Amino acid sequence: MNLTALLLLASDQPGPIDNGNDFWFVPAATDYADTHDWVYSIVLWLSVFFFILIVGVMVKFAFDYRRRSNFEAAGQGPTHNLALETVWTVVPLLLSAGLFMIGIDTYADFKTAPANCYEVDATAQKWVWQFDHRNGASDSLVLKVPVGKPTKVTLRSNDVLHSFFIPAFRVKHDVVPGRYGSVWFTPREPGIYQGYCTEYCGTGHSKMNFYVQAIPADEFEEVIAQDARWIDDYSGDRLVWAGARLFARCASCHSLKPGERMTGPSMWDLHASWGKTKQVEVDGKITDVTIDENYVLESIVAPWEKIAPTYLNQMPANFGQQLGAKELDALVRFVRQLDDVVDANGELRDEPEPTTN
Amino acid sequence: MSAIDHHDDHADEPWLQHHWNNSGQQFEAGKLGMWLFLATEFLLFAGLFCAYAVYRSNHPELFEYGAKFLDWKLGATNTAVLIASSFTMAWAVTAAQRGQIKLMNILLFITFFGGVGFLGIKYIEYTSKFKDNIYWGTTLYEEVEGVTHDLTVTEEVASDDDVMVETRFDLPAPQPENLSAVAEAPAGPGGLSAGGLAMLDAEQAESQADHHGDHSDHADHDQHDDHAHGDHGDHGDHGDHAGHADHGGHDDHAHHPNPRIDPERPANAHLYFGIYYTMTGLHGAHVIIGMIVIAWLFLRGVRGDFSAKYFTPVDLGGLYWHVVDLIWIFLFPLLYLV
Amino acid sequence: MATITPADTHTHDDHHGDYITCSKGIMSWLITLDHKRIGVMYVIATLASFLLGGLFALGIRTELIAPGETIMDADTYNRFFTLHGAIMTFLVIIPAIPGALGNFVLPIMLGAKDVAFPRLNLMSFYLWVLGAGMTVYSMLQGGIDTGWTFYTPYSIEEGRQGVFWVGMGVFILGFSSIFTGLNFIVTVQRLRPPGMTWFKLPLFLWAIYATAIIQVLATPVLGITMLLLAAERIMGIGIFDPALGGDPVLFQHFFWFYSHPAVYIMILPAMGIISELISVHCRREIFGYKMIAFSSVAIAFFSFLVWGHHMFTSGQSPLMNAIFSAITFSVAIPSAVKVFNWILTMYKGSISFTTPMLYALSFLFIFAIGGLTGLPLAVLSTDVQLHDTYFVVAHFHYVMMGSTLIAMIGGLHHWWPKITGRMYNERLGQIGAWIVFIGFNLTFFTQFMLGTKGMPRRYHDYQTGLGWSAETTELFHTYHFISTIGSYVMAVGFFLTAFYLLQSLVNGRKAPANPWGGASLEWECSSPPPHHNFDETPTPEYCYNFDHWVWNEEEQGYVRRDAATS
Repeated sequence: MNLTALLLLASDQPGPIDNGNDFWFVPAATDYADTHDWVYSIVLWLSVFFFILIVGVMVKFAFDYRRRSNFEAAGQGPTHNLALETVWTVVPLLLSAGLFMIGIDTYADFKTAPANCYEVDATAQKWVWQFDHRNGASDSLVLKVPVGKPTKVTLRSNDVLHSFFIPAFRVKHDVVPGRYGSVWFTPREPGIYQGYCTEYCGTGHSKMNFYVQAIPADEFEEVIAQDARWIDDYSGDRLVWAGARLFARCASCHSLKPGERMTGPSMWDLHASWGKTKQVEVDGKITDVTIDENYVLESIVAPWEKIAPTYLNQMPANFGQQLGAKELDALVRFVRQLDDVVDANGELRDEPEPTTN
Repeated sequence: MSAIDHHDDHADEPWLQHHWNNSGQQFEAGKLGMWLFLATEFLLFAGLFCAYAVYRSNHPELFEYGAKFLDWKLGATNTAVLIASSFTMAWAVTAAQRGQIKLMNILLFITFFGGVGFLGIKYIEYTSKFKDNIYWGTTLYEEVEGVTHDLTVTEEVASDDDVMVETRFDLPAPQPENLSAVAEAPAGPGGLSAGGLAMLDAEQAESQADHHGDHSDHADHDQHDDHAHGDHGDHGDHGDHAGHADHGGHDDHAHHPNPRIDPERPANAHLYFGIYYTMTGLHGAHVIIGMIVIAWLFLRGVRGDFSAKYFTPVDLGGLYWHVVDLIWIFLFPLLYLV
Repeated sequence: MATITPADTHTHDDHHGDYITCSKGIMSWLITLDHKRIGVMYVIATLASFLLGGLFALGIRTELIAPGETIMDADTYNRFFTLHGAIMTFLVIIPAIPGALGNFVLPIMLGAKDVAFPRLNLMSFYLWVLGAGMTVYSMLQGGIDTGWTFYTPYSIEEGRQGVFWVGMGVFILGFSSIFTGLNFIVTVQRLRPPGMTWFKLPLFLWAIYATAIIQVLATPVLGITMLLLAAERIMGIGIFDPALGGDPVLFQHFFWFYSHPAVYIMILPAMGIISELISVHCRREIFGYKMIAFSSVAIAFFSFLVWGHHMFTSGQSPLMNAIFSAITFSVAIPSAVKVFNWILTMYKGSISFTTPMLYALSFLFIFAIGGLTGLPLAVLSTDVQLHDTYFVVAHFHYVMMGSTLIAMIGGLHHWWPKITGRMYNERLGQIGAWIVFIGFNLTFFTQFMLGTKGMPRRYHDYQTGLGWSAETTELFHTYHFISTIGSYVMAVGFFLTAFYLLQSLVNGRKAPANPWGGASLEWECSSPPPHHNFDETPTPEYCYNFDHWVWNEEEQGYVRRDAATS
C-alpha cells in the first residue's frame, strides 16, 4: 500500500525529515529543546562519571583481591568509615538537589506558554488525530505551525487516553478524556517533524502518528487560509479526489489493497463488490445488504449498525458529525469510484490537474 | 511430616505448633499477625475512602443530593446492631479468658445473629433502593422495572434516511454532556411533583410498547430508528415530561423523588450511588466473612476446643469483628449523615 | 536455638533424612507445611512462569526485529506485551525472591524451625496458584490487551472478558503477597532465637523484612483498585470512567500507589541477596552493615511517597510534579549508598569468581546503569521527553530484570547446593552468567537510544506509513534489530542455565554443607537441610565473620575451624 503517496496527496508535500545522527536525540528544533538537551547532558555526564567510578573501582578490586587459593584466609578490611560514608551520602544528596532544581527550572519553561501563542486544537481518538485551526482548516495528519512564533496546542480526547509527543520539540502531554491539556513550542526552522501517540490506546496505537510542519511565518497565514477552503476547489467529478484526501483519516484502519486485513475491512474489497449483495451482521444476526452509496454513507455515520463479519464494532461513531455533507459525499464517491483513483495494487494514482473552464 | 504430627509431643497443649517454644509465644505471634492483617483490611477500605474524599471534594453536590435518598434511621439501627454485636463479641472473649466456655458459646451465637440482623436490615435497605430505581452507574437513568430498559424512546423521530449527517448519530456510549443535559433539563412550568412523573413514566412505558408495534410495519427502518431513539431520548425525555406537567400525583415519594426523573438531580448523580454500593457492598462482604469466622468459632467452642488456656482464635476472630464494626462506624456518618 | 525442648529434639528421631527424603509421595509435597518444600514449589512455579513470560518476550522482540508485520498482527502483539508484563510482574518478580528464596532461606537463616504461620504460608502458595490460574484462564479467553497497567478507560471499554479475570487474578495474587509478607514480619519479630539480635540478622533478612512491610501496607490498595476496576466493568459505577463523569487519572494514582512500592518489593530482596553474595564470595565482612540495613528501611519508607512520578505528563498539577520529583531523588540516595557499600566490601576481600559472584558483579554493573538512568526520569523536564518511550522500558528492565532477576538467579545458584544438595557444573554456570550478561546489555542498552530518539513504547510496528516517515523507520531499525538479537543471546544463556541446573539434579556432585564458606546459619545445617532445619541448636553469631570457616579439600567445602583442627 503506497501510503506515502496517499500522505503526499493528503497534505502538501511534507518532505523528508532530518533526523540527524546524534547519539541520543533527534536534532533540537526549538530553543526549549536546546535547554532540555543541556539538562540531559548534565545528567548524562554526571551519570557517566559515577558509572565509570563504580565499575572502574569494582573491576580494580575484583582484579586486585581475587582469590588465589581456597586456603586463603578470609579477607580483612575496614568495616565502616564514618567520614567516607557521610561523604557518599551527602555528595549524591547535594547533586540530586541540584538536578532537581535544574529540572524544575526548565520544567517551568515547558509549562509556561507565552501570551501571544498561535492556538490550535488537537483532538485524539482511536486512532487518528485531528488538528483544527481557528479558521476552520482541519487536518488529520499534518499539524501546520508557523516558524518563529509560539504555538499552543490544546489537547482533548474523544475516547481513551492518548499522548501527544513531538521528540524534536521535546514536548509531550497525555491526552486525557474529560480534561484539557496543552503544550507549546516555537519551531526555529521550517521543516517536517515526526509526532507520535505515546500512551497505549489499542489496536492502532502504533499507527497513530502525525507530522508537524513548520511553515515560514510570512507564508503561514495563506497556507492555513488555503487549507480552510480546500474542498471548495473540488466539485463534480473531481470530488472523488477530495475523497482520497479525506481518506487519509481512515487509512490507519482501512487498507486500499485487495484482501488486506487491518482493523477494518479493505476498501478495495468493498469497492469490488459494488452493487452486489454482501452479508453483514446486524445485532449479531447475518443479513444481506446491497453495497451502494447508502450503505457506505451509513457505514461512515453509523458504523455500529452493520458490521462486516469477522470484524469488531470498533469504528468511532462520530465521524459523521465531524464531516460536512460535501465531505461525506466525497468519501462515498471515493469508495464508489475507487478504481479511478487507485490502481490494482492499492496505489493512489496521480491527481489530475483541474481543468479550468 | 507436618506440625500436626507433633501434637502428641505436647499432650498437655495440643494446640501448640512444633516451631514455637511455648503457647505464649505462639499467642503473641498470632496477635501480631492478626493486627497486621487488620492493617491491610483498613488499607483496603482506605482506597475507597480516598475515592470518596476525592469525589466529595470535587463534587460535593453529589453527596448532598445522594445522601437524601439514604434512610439514616435504618443506618442508625444497623450501627446499633453492630455495636451491640461487638459488645457481645468482646464479652465472649472475656468469657473465654475466664474459662466460661458455655457462656462464650452463647455469646458467639448472639453475635452471629447480630450479623444476620445487620445483613437483614441491609437487605431491606437495598431492596427499597432498587424499588425507587436507585442503582449504580447508568442504570440510575434507566427504568428498570418497567416494560423496557430503553426509557429514552419517548420521541418520534423522522424515520427516513435522508438526513444522516445530522447529530442524530451521537456517540452510543453515554457521555457526560448527555447526562448533564438530562440533569439540567428544566422543570415543568408550575413545578411538577415527582409522583406525577412516576405515573407518567408508567404511561409512557405503555405508549412505548405501542410505538415499537408501529415500527414492525416497516421493519427495514427499525434498526435505525431504535438507535436514533436511544441517543436522542436522553436529551428529549425531560422536555417531554415537562409538557405533561399538569399530571397531579400521589406523594408517596414526595421526600425522596425517584432520582431517575428528578429534575433537581445534579449531573453524574450515579457516582454517589456507585460509591455507596461499593463501600457498603464490600463492607457487607466483610460482615459475611466475619459471620463465617464466628460460626466456625462457635462450632469449635461447642466441640470443646477452647479453654482458659487456649482461646487465641476467639480473641483474633473478635478483633476481626471489631474492625468490621469500626469500618461501619466510619461508613455510617460519611454516607448517611453528610 | 538455645531453648529447644526435649520434646522437640525427640521429634527429630521420627524423621530420618533431610527435608526432601523425610516423607514420600506427591501429596507430602502438595499439602506440606514445611517452609522449605513450599519454597521449592515456589521456585518451580515462578521459574515456569518466567519461561512463559520469557516466551512472550521473545515473541515481542521477534515481531520488532524488522519494520512491518513480522510474525503477528497488532492485536496479538498487544496481548503479548500485556501478558508478558502481567506475568513477569505479578507471577515472577514479585513472588520470586520472597516466595521462593525467602521461604526457603529465611527461617533457616534466622535459626527458626519454620515460619510463624506454616498453614498461612501454604495458603499463600495456593492463592498464587489460583491467581496464576486465572491469568492463564484469561489467555484461553483471548487474553487481554490493556497493558499490565490496566489504564482506564481503555481497560473498561476493552471488549474481551480477560480484564476481569486478570484483574481478579491480580487481586488474589495480591493477597498471596500480603500473607507472605505478614508471615515474614511475624517470623522475624517473634521467632528470632535468643541471641539473634536485630543487628545480627543477615542483611537478606533485613531486606525481606523491609519488603514485607511494603507488601503488607501497599498491596491492599492494589486489591481495592482491582475490585473497583471489576466493579467498573461489571456494574459501571463510573469512578474511573470519564464517559460517566469519573476520573481516569485517579485510577493511575491508585494503581501506582501500589505499583511503585511494588518496584521496591522487587528490588529490595534482590539487594538483600547481593549483600549476601558479595560478602560470602569475597569472604569479607560486609562494609557498613548498619548503613545497608537502614537504607533498606529508608527505601521502604520513601517508596510510598513517590508514586506520582509515573504521572508527570498526565496533567497533574505542576506543584505535585515538583514534589514527587523531589521525593523521587531521595530514593536515589539509599540506593547509591548500598552500591558504594558493596563495592567497598570487595576491598581487601578474597574474591572468588564463582557463578553467584559473577551474577553479583553483573548486578552491580546493571544496577548502576539502571539506577543512574533513573535520574533523567526523575528530572522533570527530561522525563517529559523520555516518558512512555523505550528509554523507560530500558530503565525498568535494567532495574527489574537486569537487577532483580539477575540477583534472583545469582541467589538461586548460591543456595542451589543447599536446596537440592547437589553442585551444578561451575564452568557452565560461569559461561551462562556471561551469556546472560552480554545478551541482556545488547537487548536493553540499545533501547535507551531508541527511547531518547522518540520511539514510543507498546508500538507494534515502525514501518513507514501514514504519518511515519521513511527516515524515522531507518532511525529505529538498527537498534530494534540489535535488541532482538540480544534477546536471543539472553534466551540461549537462560536455556543453558536451565540445562545445567536440571542436569545437576541427575548427576551433580553431592554438595557439602558449606560450599562457599558462608557464615550465616543456613550453612551450619547439612545440604539439603534436615526436616526441622537444625539437628543441633545453632548459636547465632555475627553472620559476616568468616574467620572460623576454613576450606577442607576432602569435603570440597568449608568446615568450622574448631572442627577442622580437632
